[in-house]
Amino acid sequence: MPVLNNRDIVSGLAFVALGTAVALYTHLNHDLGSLRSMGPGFFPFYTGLALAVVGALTIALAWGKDGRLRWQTRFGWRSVLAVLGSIAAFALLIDRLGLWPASMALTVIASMARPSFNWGASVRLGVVLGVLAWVVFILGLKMNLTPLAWSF
Amino acid sequence: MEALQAFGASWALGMEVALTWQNLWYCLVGVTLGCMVGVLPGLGSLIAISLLLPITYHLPATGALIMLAGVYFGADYGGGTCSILLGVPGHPAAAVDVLDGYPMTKQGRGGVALFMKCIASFWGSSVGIVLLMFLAPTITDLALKFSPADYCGLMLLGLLAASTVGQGSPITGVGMLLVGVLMSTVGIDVNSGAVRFDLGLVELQDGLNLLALAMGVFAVAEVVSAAAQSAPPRITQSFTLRDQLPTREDWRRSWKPMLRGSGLGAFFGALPGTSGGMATFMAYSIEARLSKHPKEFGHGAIEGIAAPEACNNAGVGTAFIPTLTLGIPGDAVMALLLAALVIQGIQPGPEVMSSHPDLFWGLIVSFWIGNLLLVVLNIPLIGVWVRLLQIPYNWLFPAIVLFTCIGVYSTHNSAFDVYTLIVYGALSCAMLLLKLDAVPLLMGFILGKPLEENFRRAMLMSRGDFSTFVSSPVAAIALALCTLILGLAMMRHFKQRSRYA
Repeated sequence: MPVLNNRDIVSGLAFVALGTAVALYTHLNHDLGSLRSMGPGFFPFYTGLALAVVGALTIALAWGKDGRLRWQTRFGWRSVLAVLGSIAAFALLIDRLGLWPASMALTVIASMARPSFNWGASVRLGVVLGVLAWVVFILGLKMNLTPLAWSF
Repeated sequence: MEALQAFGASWALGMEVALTWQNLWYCLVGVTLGCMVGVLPGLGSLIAISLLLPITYHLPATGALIMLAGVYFGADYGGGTCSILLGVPGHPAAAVDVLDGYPMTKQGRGGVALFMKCIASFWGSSVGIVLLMFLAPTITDLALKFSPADYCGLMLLGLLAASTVGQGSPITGVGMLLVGVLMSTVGIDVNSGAVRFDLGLVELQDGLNLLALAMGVFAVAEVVSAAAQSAPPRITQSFTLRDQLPTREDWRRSWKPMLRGSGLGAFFGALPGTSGGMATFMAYSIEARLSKHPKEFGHGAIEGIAAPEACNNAGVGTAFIPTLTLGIPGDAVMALLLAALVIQGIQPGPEVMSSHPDLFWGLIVSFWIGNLLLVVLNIPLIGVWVRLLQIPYNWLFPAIVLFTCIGVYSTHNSAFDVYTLIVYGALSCAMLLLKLDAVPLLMGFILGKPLEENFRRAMLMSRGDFSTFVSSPVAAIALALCTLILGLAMMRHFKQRSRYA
């Protein structure tokens, strides 16, 4: 589809979709009330409508400019997956195994973002960052974190 | 005379608060950490404040705000260092330093550029802070008489200005703003007790986590796009004090641009949406036009450092005027600082000055102390920051991701918040692809709740009559300006279009 080559049209479609979805959802689930005494649905309903209108306007203004606005990647999928995956690993491990294993997993997976990834170097970095985090957040700031845990 | 007396009294009170050992320590920690994050390429004050916000959860209110303001100023100073020495803007507001700062570095005068940048920044901040102290009481008095309709209009004005004047396209800026406002409605509605958009998740009933959102949209995308970056070039210059001292000629050429720059910055800083570059570039082009040797601009003219830096920092000072007196931020950094106030249980607005005078004046005086500390930190200790610039990026970015995760986790000890960070991170990558600006999203999110609150109250008081927005002059002027901003944005759009067609 040539239309999807235009960034602004894609954004506009997303705005329209989100705006209408929100407006529909609030209309079905919440009391809108009146201007004089608004229900919980009033404000989100009209904000959603406004978003849909802005989205439609975005599409209208971008129409016909097709091909000029190309996708621009400042990053590769490799780094997106590595960084988001490393956060997921941290979230999975922090309550179950504690801060040290979580930061080790995060460091190693995040390091995979670079093509020059190397196991030894990133494990060493993981050890250093784990100790640093322990010193700063547990010893220094007295945050309620456990370095090592075992709970499943 | 009376104003001067009041000024003296507030200065004295502020000094008393800011000069306790505890608050001096928070200020020092804030400026140092801010500087550390700021010198790193691509990381600016927004990311610095988001990264360090969780630490302040555990501090007393005054200390927390002093530290965050210190982070802001520190990141600003640090960003300039990166621009001047590497030719890579540390953050958008420091982009102008590249124009003449980097050529000066190549001529071996990088130290002089850094020195002048510090002096100009310090001068600019002092101007901004004095104006802030003089004007704040007057504006607060006015603001106490504002009605909910007035607040509604002013907030809308601030939001629209900030989302259309930015770098992105104005119309998608408004779209992101509305998305942010919608995100703020997630959770329990305080008026009716109804739960909105919780998607069946108990964790969403308290609303979305601001910290996860801010870090997700600012830090994660930045790390993702910089992860594959190559190592920064080596810096070989020496930075002894002698290399840094400007010559008599440098001083002679710089003092007038500094004065003009700070005036311009002080004016524009108080207006919403103009921070982060626009005013600084204006100061730069004015100097280039007034100069006797315009050809030197872009090739290492010292005025090209002095004027924009004075402008930038004077603007920071006056940007605090609407933020602290009205509770209406002009940009995303100010919005985050207000959010920090709310986290501390203080409702932003004109009441802050009378109900928490120690916090209010202590904070302002600490701005000045923070700037003084930054001059000390940056001139003799510049070598430390230069070495920090040389840390390889493959060590740095996992560390940033880790500190982000720990920060988000530690606020409620909840892994759920870390999972939401993934969602926001993915969102920010999509936004990067679509060239959508994150700043309006964050501002809409922070101001969404007070906007809804004031809108409801205004409508309740006027019994559903929209004319309440026109009958009060403040609201009417604010709304007229909103229309003007939207009209100008439209015009800009069509102009751009005809140029390319």
